[in-house]
Amino acid sequence: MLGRVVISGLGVISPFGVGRDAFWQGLAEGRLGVRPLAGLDALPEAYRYAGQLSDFRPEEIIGSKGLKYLNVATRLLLCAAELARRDAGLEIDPDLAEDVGVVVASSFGNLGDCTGFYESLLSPGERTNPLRFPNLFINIAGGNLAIRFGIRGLNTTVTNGATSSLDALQHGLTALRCGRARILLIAGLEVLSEPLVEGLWRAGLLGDTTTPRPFDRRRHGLILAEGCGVVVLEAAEAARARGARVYGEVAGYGSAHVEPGDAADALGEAIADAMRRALDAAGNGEVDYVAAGAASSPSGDRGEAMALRRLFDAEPRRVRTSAIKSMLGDAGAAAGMLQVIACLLAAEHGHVPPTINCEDEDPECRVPSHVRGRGVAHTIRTAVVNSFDWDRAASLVVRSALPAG
Amino acid sequence: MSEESGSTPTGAPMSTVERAQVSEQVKRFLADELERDVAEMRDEADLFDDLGLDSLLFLALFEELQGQYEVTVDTRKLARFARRNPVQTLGELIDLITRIIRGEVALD
Repeated sequence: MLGRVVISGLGVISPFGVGRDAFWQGLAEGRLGVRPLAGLDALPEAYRYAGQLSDFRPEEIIGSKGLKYLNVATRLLLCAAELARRDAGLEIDPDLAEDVGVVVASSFGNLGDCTGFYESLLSPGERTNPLRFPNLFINIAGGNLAIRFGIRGLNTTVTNGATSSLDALQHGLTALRCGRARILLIAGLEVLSEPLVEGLWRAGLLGDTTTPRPFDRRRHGLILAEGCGVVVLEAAEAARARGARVYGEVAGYGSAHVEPGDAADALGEAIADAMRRALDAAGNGEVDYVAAGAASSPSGDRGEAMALRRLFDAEPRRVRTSAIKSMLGDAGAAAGMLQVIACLLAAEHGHVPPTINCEDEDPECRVPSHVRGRGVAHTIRTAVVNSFDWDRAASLVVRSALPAG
Repeated sequence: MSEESGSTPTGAPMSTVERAQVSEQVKRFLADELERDVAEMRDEADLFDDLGLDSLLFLALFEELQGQYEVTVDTRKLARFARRNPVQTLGELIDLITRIIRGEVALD
């Protein structure tokens, strides 16, 4: 029986820039990483805001060779994974290759490649380059990561809406416990594209606002983001044997189906169930921080606030709560991984990043010990990450490497 | 898309095309796509073990040559032909391409 499973390395590329330090600095300072997108002339200006990458130059991280036909998603994953690999001090030599695996969470990472390829097929006189064909597969990034790193173990791409990153971590936990791998690179990956933004806008799912405002009375709906977070997952003993640093333990996962009915109520029930199940799986322990999944959605935020009150109102002594999507926007399938990494860095720095732009908290979105505006110093041993959409809620319990207090 | 014949010269007759010219173009294209030195593109190089070609790169190569020589090749017929008449080295591939451009190969 495998013992504890830990995170022994991480890499992140976000709207705050490349690397964990840029990511943490943005979060700790409570900066807004959202700005107007170029292009998208069909959309009214108010809908063009998103958490975009800037200053991302893959060749500086992985060299320029072999990048020619790789889509943005693949370049992004290769770079974030390389940062995580270095951070973990991991060398993937041929002896280890069969025991290393990849799990990638992504929903829309290659949507722009699919529509671009299709448009070129329909354009008279334009020759469609067959070398771009592999970019049509959602697992192109995970496949290329294995090729590039010489990884020969399991390779899975999880496309499961907002909970994808947490589901990918749970898939990794199971794989390690079943002995299907010894070391896993688990990624959350999402890339903005014109068809994604315009499609969600046409479906009425985007907010007409320049600023995400989770839990605020003035919240206006979704603002998208892109980015990639990668963690290295392995047994605690294996990490110790390698002499790797340990950021924390992935201690428990829980999920729940959202029953049809009143959106906020049903969602609240599901999020509460998911959190209880994750905490049960982790074994008991007081929660110090909840990285909320709230993304400025009118009823989604209300549902999560209800769930948080139900679990933590009776014992609000230690818990602190904040929603980092207020700074970054919602990175879809990658969002959960960005929250997990935020928790690990928050624990390391003893500092809870804030929910920004929530100056007028909605009374229906009252959240226990909500950290708003500016971050606060806090000791974090146990953190809960929430992800949810209209069908499912998932929660993950992360224990920091701090000794029990 | 030509369904009637495998290889159809649509412009000037290509029957006189020089192998050396085709060779230079194929080697330059492959060196570029594989991000390797053109000097590594030797006639005796094994297409798969030495150069690491895959089916998509073959397709891309034929796309490129069709543009340059105004020859239309039905890729499904070409794939069938290649299964029956496999080529192993870069030299053999260049020979085959030269003959296709000259209209000397019946792909059916």
